[in-house]
Amino acid sequence: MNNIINLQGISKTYKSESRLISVLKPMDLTIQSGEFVSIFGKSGSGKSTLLNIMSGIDSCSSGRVIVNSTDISHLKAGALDAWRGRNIGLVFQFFQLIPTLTVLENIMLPMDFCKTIAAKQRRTRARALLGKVGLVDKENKFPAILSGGEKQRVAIARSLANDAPIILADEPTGNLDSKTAMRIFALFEELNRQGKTVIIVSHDPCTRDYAQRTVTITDGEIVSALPVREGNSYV
Amino acid sequence: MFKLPRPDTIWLKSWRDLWSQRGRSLLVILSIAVSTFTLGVILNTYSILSREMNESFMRANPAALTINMAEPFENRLLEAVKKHPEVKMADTRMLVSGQIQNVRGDKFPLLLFVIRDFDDIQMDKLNPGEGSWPPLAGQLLVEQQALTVLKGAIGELVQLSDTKGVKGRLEIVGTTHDVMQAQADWEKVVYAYVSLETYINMGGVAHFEQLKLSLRETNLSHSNVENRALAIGGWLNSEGFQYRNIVVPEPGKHPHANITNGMFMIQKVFASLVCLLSAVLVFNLNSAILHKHKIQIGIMKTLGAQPNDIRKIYYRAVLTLGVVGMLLSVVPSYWVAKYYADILATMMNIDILDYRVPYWVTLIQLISGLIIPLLAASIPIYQAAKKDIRETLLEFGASDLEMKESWIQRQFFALSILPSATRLVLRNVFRRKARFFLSCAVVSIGGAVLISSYNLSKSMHEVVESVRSSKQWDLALRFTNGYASQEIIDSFGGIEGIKSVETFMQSSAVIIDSKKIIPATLSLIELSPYSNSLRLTQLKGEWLNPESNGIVISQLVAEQYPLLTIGNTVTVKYRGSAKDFVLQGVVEVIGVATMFINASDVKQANAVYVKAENPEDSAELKKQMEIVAGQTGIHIFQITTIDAAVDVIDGHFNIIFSLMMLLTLIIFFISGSGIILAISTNITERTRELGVLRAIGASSQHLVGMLVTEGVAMALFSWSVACLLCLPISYLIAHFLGILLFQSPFPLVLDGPIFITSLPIIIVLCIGSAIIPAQMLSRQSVREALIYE
Repeated sequence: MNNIINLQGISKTYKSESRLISVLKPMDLTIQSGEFVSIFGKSGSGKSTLLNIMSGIDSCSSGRVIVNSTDISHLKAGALDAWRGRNIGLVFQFFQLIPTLTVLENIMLPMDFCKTIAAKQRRTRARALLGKVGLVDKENKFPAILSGGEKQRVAIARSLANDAPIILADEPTGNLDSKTAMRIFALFEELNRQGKTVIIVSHDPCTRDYAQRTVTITDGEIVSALPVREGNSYV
Repeated sequence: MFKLPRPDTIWLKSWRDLWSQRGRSLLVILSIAVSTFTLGVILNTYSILSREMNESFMRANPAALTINMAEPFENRLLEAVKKHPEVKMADTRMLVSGQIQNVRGDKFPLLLFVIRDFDDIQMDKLNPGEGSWPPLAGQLLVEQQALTVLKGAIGELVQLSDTKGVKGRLEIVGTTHDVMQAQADWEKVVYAYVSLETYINMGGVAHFEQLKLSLRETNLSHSNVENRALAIGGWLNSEGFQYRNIVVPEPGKHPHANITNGMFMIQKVFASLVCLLSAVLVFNLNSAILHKHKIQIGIMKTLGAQPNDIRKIYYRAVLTLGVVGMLLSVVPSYWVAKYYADILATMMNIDILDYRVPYWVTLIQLISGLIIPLLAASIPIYQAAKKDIRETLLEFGASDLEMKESWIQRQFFALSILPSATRLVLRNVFRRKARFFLSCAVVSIGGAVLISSYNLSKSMHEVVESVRSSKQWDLALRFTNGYASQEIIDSFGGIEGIKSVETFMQSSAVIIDSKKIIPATLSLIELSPYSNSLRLTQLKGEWLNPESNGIVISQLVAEQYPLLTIGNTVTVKYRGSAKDFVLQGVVEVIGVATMFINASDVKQANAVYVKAENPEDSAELKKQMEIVAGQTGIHIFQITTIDAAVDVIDGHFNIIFSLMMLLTLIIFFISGSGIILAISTNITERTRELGVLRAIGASSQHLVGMLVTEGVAMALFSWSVACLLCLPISYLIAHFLGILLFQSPFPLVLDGPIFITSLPIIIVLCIGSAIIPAQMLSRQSVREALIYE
């Protein structure tokens, strides 16, 4: 397997009026294609910042970010947005579906933006993705009337719209009950089995049950980045 | 079967965003529709009218020049003039003034046109109207609008009498349209047309004094036509024919063209203002939507949307608003414009044959309905689209940044006299400064235009009062001929109820000036220097002095001769001879360019000012004077009461004021929509914050009270600005309209009560805008408010 994400000496500091706040201390991290990685840590540890740097939502203060063979640290904003749409599927804690679009339209939206799929095939593909997350019957519904779990499944389907090789999820179960959360994790596991690289940021220890590797962050430092699971037993 | 292409999700998002804000979107659509409708009505009308006015004028084949001969001439002269190498066509017609009496015995001033041959009118053509054409012997035609003045009808018999004592009873057989005449109803004069045969049968003598000519010259510039006219005048003199004066109108231009253009200029400025205000609404709506969509924009960027995709979504939304607005306004504006053009055409006595509008009118409507809103929306759209994804999604410290206060605000809010709730209200007012100032600007402009309309009305009222006070008479009579002054005084002075009778001579005159190729014809009044009948505002110098050979001119004359200064010698040609006078002063006369000289050596008069013992008896005195005139053989052309003279000006002013009020209402509608939009946006944006307030104990009444206070604060600010803004607006409109109508600016007069009454109007508008969203909010549960995104 090749390295799909390669973070080289990255760090992140914020300037707040008179002082510098270090959110991520200089670190290296490599994630291989097809891996299911969980980034685990307490609130404020810097795990979401790390995910944002991987997706190009945030920039690092130093170091290089190479994702899917592209050094995104040098991409301009517009090019970075287009690159992200094609290479990364993002899933958020608060689902972030567009409220004025139906479920099906929400899934078609990234395809319309990136034009990776021929216009005539977008609707069919969106339906297929809805089928994958088990929500075919909800295609004409607006997000407002869906349950939290359904919204997150739509968000996952949307993250697959452009067939991005990498799925990044930021606390995807943070707003869901434990039963629904398990279903969502199972869905991510299934996607990973189908070849997607899945990286989930969470402070929920359950994440580790599904991930092949857990990267633990404490106070902006990676304290552990080893595979924690072999089969079903921890080492 | 043809299937419409399915819109992509970007279009769907644009439309659904508008639908999700449908109340506000509707307001913006209506504002765009109203502004493009207003602009469309004005531009369509202007384009139809300006073209048709000149074409209607040109269809009548107007004479390039008119020569008024000193003596009546025979056909021989006309034939000779026709052969002159410079002359393309020549024609003549007789014009006599007199009186016309309808079947009920009502008498009206008459201008009677005696036509040589109705079937061979070369210039200043008449268009046949209803009834018969041409009139036979014993018949007459009446100008189509003059029939209303006459209160007559086709088939009725009327009694005519002219200045020469010619009388006759004729039948009205039809109407004609004479585009060369001003609207009869405004002039209160009846224009009638008879054949030469009819006039002779009435006992009249053919005495043509007026030559109407068109030229072979192709360069029809005003100065060139004047030079040609002067050459023909010189030729006439060399042939032994003396002329009184030559009149050269602006070639190819309807006499009312300048005033029409001026009036439309004001309307176009107002319409542009309306479009500008609706653009502000589009700006505000977009700012509100984009602020609400801050996170959505970030999310879309994570899905691969580039800045251009984001711009597309919001530009398409604005485009949709514009297209719907245009659909609602373009066609109706054309139909209303046709109706409006018809009304104005009647007022200007022109015919409209073609209602087509040029492409530029629709193009300007498209620009105002689509391009201007798109441009207005560009600022918030560009700002939102270029925003870094991190700013939109992560919002580090954004809320703190928003609440930065200026030093003045900090000092103001530090005042402990303000309760915390009021402080919060005032902070909220200034929270989004750009939106606050833009919204206030919209209301301020609306308020300023409202106050300015009333100020203008007051200015015009002042002008009317100034006209009334300058005329210290109750009745003015104009005779068809000159009579001995003493005879006039003896005839009318004895009528019971008449306090005084003052005779004067009114004639046309020109100032001899080597710089003017053809001097303009002016009105000259010879009256006593001790006259009590006129009390004119002295602008420069002094009034007539009985001891000196002085002349006093009106400001309209001064404008035509700007080099004239007090003490200069002025050579005036009048009643067949030229005489020198010393310029003594300049006075203000509304309407006609007039000069005044001493009448000490004038024994004859053709007009009289009458002062009544009781002004309310004017109508009765008018009848008595008509009886006396009939008994003494004095031919009256026109009797005017002071009220009628002032009412003519007042009537014109009322039309202007009505038009101003209509435009003010339109601007107020847009302003009202603007404030509703801004306040409701401000409130809905703070739904969650207001939910928090309720959660910590604020009642619904508290919230409504706070929001209403915000509305009042905006109203007070807007009103204060409106009060200041109305001063330059009022001054500019009064100045422009005064110059346009009377070549003399109207005074700037402030209407005190409207300054006061506009405050509650603006407060009600602002509170009304706040109360609906405030009540909707108060009906929401605290839970709903707290989870509002």
